[in-house]
Amino acid sequence: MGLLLVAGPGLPAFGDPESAAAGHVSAHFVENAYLDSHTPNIVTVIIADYRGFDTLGEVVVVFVAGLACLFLLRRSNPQQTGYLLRRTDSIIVDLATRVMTPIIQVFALYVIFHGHYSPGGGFQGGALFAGSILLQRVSQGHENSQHTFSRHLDTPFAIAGVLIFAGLGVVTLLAGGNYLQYDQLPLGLRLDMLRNLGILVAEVGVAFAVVGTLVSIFDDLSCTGRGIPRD
Amino acid sequence: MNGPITALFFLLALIAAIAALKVKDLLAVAVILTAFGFFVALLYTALGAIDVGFNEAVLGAGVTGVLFVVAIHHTQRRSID
Repeated sequence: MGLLLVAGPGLPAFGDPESAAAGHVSAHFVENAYLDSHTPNIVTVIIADYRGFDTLGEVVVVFVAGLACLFLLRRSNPQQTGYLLRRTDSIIVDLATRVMTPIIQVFALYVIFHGHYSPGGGFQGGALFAGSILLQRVSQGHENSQHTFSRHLDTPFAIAGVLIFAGLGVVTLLAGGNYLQYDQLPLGLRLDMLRNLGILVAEVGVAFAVVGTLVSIFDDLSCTGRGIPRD
Repeated sequence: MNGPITALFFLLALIAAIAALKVKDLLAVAVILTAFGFFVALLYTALGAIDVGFNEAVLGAGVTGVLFVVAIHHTQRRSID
């Protein structure tokens, strides 16, 4: 704490255009992002390539948050405690959600894979996809929505996401480069297309982890069956 | 973008936040916080951070609203204070 107080005033002023980050580093990123990785969206290049290690840490933090909710909240057998959510009685809600869910899911996949060219990427698309699954849970009830996305798939999805992203780094290590150095992937492509592909795999890993964690937290919260209490 | 639109989004977010503190019915508060998340997403987009605005719109104005509603079902619907 004392070290923090001593070192804090040494940081550059907030928004200072002369600081190291705003001067040399931003200029380097903006000038070289498309040349290095053939990806127009500079934000995606920064978070998945130049600062990929930070994004890996973020994915692990999301996964650990899902694990924490699991340890705190998960009931082992919803058949005994009952499901909180029943299927909705209204035809309008039922039909509207059945029409909207595939549209939301296709849009979520579009956002994930089009993150190279437009605002989006793994976090946004993964959260959209998780939103469509939550929509199914809320409108069709817990039992019917197990066919759409079973609650046994939550944690495996999250684990798969972390493994995809971390495993990408291990593959580049085995191929002779640094951890998460996409240049060294052992495929016969041009260097900038290799980095393009590396960013894509990283975003897919992020999307898996986000979907798994968000649906896992929702299922942990809502699988106890006391029903809706009075005020 | 220009100043007045950003100031308008700030004002709307402030009104939503004060309303969320004053209202007693917690389900209504969950909906107001969803609206707050949406105004903040518009604010981020107005300031030029489109990816962050997208994230805030999906997570803040979608997922956390649903999680709040489920959490309220486990406790009570009337605010104590």
